[in-house]
Amino acid sequence: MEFKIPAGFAHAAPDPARLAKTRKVFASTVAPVRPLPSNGVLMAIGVAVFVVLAILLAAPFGFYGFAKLGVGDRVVEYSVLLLLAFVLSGIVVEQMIPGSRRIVQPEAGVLIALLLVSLTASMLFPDFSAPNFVARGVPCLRLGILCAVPAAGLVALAMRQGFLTDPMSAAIASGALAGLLGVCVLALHCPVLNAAHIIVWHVTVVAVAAVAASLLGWRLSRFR
Amino acid sequence: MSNYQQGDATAAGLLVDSLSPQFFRFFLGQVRSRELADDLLQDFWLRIHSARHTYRPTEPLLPWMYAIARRVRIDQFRRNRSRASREVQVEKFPEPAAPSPAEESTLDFETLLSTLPESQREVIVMLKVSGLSVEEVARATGCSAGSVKQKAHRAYEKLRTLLKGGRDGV
Repeated sequence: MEFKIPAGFAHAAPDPARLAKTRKVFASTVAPVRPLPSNGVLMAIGVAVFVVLAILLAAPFGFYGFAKLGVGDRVVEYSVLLLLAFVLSGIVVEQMIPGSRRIVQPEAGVLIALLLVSLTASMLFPDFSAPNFVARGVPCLRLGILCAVPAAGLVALAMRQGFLTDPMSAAIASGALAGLLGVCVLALHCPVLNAAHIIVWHVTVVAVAAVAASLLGWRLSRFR
Repeated sequence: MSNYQQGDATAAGLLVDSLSPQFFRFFLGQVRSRELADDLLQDFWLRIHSARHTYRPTEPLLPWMYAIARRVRIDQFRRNRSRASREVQVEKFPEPAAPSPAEESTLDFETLLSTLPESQREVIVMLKVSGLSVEEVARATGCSAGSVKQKAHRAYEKLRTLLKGGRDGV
């Protein structure tokens, strides 16, 4: 479609006095700044902090889950969690940089995390029997969410180093990453190697954290 | 921009001078008030100033700036909406001033734009007024290039229908 801009609009100019004021503010407050590192570096830092934090938070409760797993199962399960941590860190970093290419949307990131952890649990521990399902599950859910809270705080602090152009998406991304940290702590601690238990009580931590963070993000963006 | 990040006040001034008209038109295309567009432009530059460390010299500059400009516009829209919900309705509104002949074509264009939904309007302004590419608009709005093309296509369809209706009505 041929779309011509009227000359009046194409040559519309801002108020020179206001521009002079802006220039004056810039001149009086301009100081050297160091640009943020590349996305790759930020993601690597994010994943390193994620791993250290997961180990530190799981340590007081014991590494019973880790001890019960075979070597092959450990490699598969922790590789999947590490891969997801990398993907979600990438989404968080993308949210911090205005105008950066959005490869994966945060909602899709949450969905990928839920599906991949559930699929891995179904493949590694194909036991769907559910003795004491709720009694054994609720403490796991509680621990996962409890670990996700400080992680979410850390992610929010890290995000303040950037500039959020979409607070809602940023909140979902940070909630999902924090929830994944809760899942990681449970993967290290929980000795119940049962697909039904993991899918319902562990994976739910990601969903709960993402939903809670998005509600918080919505409220903050609405009333700030 | 790199010089500005290194603390060069002259580079900052040059950036403001060279890019202000473009961003003024971006805001004007969405708010239809010169005064408000000036306010938004000032707010925009203050945010650019505080977020300048998030720009990487290896990345394209305009999508970075437009992403921030878009945020400024959204925040203004929210502020206005919450203010409007607290305002008391007056009985009689003052008559708006008649536009001067020079302003009339601008006003028509702005009126035409105002018929579009917010998301389509910003895409049209970025593509046609600011001259960004589809990829740059996608980066600035945080959508995929396909989504930008779809929004632009829908906006063209709507504008075409409106213009056709206007001509038929004459």
